[in-house]
Amino acid sequence: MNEIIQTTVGGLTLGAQYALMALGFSLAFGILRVINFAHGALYVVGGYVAYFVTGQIGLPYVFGVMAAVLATAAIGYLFELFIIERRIDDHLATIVLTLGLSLIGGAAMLGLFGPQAVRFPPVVSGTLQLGGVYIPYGRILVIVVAAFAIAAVYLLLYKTQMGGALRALTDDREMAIAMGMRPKVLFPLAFAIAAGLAGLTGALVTPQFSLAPFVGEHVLMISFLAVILGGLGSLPGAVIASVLVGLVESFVGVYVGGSWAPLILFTGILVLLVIRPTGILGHRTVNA
Amino acid sequence: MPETSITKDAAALGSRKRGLARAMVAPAVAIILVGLAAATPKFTADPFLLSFVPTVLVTLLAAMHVWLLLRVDLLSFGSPPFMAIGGYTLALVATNYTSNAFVLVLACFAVPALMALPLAVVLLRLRGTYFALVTFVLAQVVMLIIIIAEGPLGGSSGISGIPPATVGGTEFGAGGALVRFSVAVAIVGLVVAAAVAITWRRHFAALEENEPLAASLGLNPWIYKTLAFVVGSGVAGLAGLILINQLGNAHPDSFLPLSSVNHLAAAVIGGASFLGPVIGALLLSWLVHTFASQAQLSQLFLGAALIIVTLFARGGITGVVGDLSRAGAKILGRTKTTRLDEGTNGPKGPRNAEKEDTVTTARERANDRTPLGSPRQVVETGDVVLAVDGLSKSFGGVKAVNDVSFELRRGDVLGVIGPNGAGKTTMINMIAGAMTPTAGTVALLGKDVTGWSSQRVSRQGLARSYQQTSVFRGATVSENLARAKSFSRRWATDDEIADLLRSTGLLARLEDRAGDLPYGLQKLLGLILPLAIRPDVLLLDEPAAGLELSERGRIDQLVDWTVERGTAVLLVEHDMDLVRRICPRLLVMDTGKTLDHGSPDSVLNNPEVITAYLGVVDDDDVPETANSSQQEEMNHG
Amino acid sequence: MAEATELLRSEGLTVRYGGIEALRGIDIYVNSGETVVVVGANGAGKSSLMKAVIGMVPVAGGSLVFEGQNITSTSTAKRAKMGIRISPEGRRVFANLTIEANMLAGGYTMSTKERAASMEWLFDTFPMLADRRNAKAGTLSGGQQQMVAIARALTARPKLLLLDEPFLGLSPVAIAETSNAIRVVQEQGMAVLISEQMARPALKLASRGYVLRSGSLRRSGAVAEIRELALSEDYL
Repeated sequence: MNEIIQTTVGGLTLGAQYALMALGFSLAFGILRVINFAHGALYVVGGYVAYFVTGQIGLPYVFGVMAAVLATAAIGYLFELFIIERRIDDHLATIVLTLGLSLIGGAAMLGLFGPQAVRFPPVVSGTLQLGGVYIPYGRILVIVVAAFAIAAVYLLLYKTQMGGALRALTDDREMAIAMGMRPKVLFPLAFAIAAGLAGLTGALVTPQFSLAPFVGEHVLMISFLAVILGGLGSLPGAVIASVLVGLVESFVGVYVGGSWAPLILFTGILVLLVIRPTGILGHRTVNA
Repeated sequence: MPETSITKDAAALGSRKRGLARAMVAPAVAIILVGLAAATPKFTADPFLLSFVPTVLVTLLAAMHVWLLLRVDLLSFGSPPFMAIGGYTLALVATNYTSNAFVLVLACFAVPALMALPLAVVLLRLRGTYFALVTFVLAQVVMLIIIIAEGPLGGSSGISGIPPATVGGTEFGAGGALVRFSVAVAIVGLVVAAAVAITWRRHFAALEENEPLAASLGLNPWIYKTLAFVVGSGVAGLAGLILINQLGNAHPDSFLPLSSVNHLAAAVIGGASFLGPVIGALLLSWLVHTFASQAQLSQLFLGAALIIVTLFARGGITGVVGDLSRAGAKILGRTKTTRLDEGTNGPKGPRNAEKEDTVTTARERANDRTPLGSPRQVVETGDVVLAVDGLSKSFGGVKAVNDVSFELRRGDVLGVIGPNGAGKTTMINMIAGAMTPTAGTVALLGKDVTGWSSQRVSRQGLARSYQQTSVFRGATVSENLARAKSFSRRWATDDEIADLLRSTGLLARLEDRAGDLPYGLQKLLGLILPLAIRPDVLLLDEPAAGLELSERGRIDQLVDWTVERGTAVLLVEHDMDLVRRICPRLLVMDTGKTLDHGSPDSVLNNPEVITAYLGVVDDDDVPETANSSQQEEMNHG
Repeated sequence: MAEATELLRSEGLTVRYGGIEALRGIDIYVNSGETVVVVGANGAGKSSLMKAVIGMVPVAGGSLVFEGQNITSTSTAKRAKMGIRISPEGRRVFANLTIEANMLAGGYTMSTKERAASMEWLFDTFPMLADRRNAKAGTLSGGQQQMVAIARALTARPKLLLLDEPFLGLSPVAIAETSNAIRVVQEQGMAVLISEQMARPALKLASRGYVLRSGSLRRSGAVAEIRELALSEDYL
């Protein structure tokens, strides 16, 4: 019984972490219809910026996290404004463009910090013990931040003027412009937020796991899983799917064996695509 | 006009030959380039080249996988998984059965290709972004399967000690023999890819450029996408064969999912010509080799190149070279072009004379036939070829088409009129298979075709035109016709095609790019394509929209032409003069419903029809009810 | 009543798409507070005119002046800010947004307070909007979507309201309701420019009008002067 609870808690924490990883990716697709292949690279950049500020300059971790968010958001802002915006209507072109950014970001980290994994100074340590269940504090931090970030993105999209404008622009760009909205102001901001979320995730998660130029691939895969399962562009779908992925991974890892978990997940996704190509909560976005 | 007809035949034939020749050049050069490498003894003795050549070839074939799928407008990250399937096929067959090179090449192509086939059934239901994502996921799945399958595939430690491929007593495991074998396999892969890309170049180009039009002319998009996917996967399998034969052991790390990014970069940067992947692979391998100790630099250049090519040179390197050479040819051939232009605009140009001639004829014929307002008589004796019953379509809360029924007989011309937003185009889309009806049935030649895809409906004998110009813009006029011909099972005779071209003034512009034609000629070309597949039923969606008044007479001619051949025509049109001239029967639609059906005289004088266009005479005509909102909701469901 | 001032004037307005001239040298004007109608058959260039005024299509020749300022090359967003709003042909509501979110988007350029007051007035005046404020606009009927499109444009309390084919695809009942809504707008003193194929109900709303054919003006003047031509215009 205790094992089941521990596994469930483990799955939920993992799911929360995955939701945070997928959040920015899902936002970029939901609003800009851009599949951001640079999402993993931005996660890595966020991790390294936090590492640089915390481990090499020696400032408190909080500053490292803030610097990571600002740096990645700035990259996202400029990249959307000057590059993606020119090809915003061509979905395949935006994939290739973000792939280019991903290569450049990876190359920059490789050049600056080398190919070896770096050791983060211990930032959040210790483990919470509740009954027979153990949760590391670092994970709790991730869960709390994930909850806040999801709530913030939700409020931004559905309760603010900017969110309404962004959704209007997604729906009918030309009409939204005729209402006085400026996509060249709003879309770079939206992409900056999406990129900043990737940087935030990197700064929070890499100290708990590992930080090397190539760890972003895993994040990208998790994001793909979440949005395919949840339905492209559906924010609630991505969150639910992330938690589901976390739970499946946790239970399969405990009861079946480690490497089976991803295989079952990925194969499950291929099967899901046959039965329901729009994902769990998706609408008619298959041809988008 | 025997002379014109001869000119036309010669021109068409010449263009066909030249088109084929042009398509063959790039693959031939590619294959010769690769072949030359093997023929040079010094080359094969150089220790650097011994390892470099197979590496380039692996990248080349992997990029060819991406390139083939890009030709049908799909972005694939699937090169690593299919390379892995090819590589592990080699490992298993060579270790357990035979190291015969012929058997290995065959197996390493066939196994991934066959595994791609069922995947195509699933994945090709998806389009664009979704397909790209899923191929990325597929790369992970194959990796994971290899790692988990510790028994047969060696798991994460891989399979080592794979015997090299052999023919007779010769081993292709090292030295010059390895290079020659790798080159031979690469040529096999290139030849297969070239054969597919050349044989179905029209189908691929049409899918990349205008899939709906291609499907409406009878091309089955799914078949050719599957073909590209299956052959592309086999070619990637050959890349895996070269790689594993060179390494001597198969390991999951040789097929990292992210390596697909390199293959994609090679294909995108190289460009759309067949030489593209060759140049891209050479460039990529050179980058990787030059910066072997500074991986970050090659990665940086690659990323920047991807962005620059996507923003500024969609055709990639080969595309830019092609544009430059075309521009150069244009400058060199300026005198010729000028003379041609004079021909177009000058008062004595033969083409212009012909054009005027046609217009006059069209007007005369129009006048002969139709004293304004009274439709010509058509005896309806033909069989029913199209029967539409209770057709409906809803979008959200709006019923765009609401319970429409009618029949069309052979030789019939039914005009469909109605104010904007009445649902006319939606109805055409449903009949032609571009949209699935919410309710109702469509029967074509007695067969229920409700919900069929565009190409199935087309093959059953229905053709359609589009409201906006819809042609293959990047291809010449004659190539547009050649494409339509190769997609359709039916085709008009050469004389009939010459007839159509002459009457529209397109005959003199056979070698012009369709996208460069003036709007009116593009629109007429868009009408000729569906006419030329000799349909039993033809749906025309506002053929006159955007045409100058002087050009509209040609629509009379075209409709006459096809009706004389037994086609039933449905004409959606706003030009009431045109409608009166050629439609003995009219159907009026308003807010998705049939408002009236009958002869033009009776229909156009129906007060209800006038109301639909002009609105009610007085507000008093409208029942003023307190809960009119509700009533309206009921109207719209 | 205060003397009418000129709000909008076009001189020699020309619009081209590809090779086609959709509008050839159009001269029109709209005074503040008046309703002007542009009638014409399909393809006459009515929508091109409306789109040129809001800036959704580029002007190939001629000029546009709004409140004394030349706006010929002003961006669409800027024109919206200056007080022009459009209810476009085919309604084009934000289908995935609720009615309320559509209206919020319409009042994007206003302060939160002004916008709240404006929306409250609209909800009071048109109860259908209030009743279904949380319904996604894409699920509404055609008549309701037209109301949302007009309300979306009205939220910003524009000086000039452009209504492009407001009766398109509507049932007679919905046309009557839309007409009533437009009358309410007129009472607010806004200037309205309507383009419509259905001349009869459109002419009833306006004081002045223009008849457009094949991209050129055929006639202009008071409704009584153009009525005959407007109704005989060869739709049929």
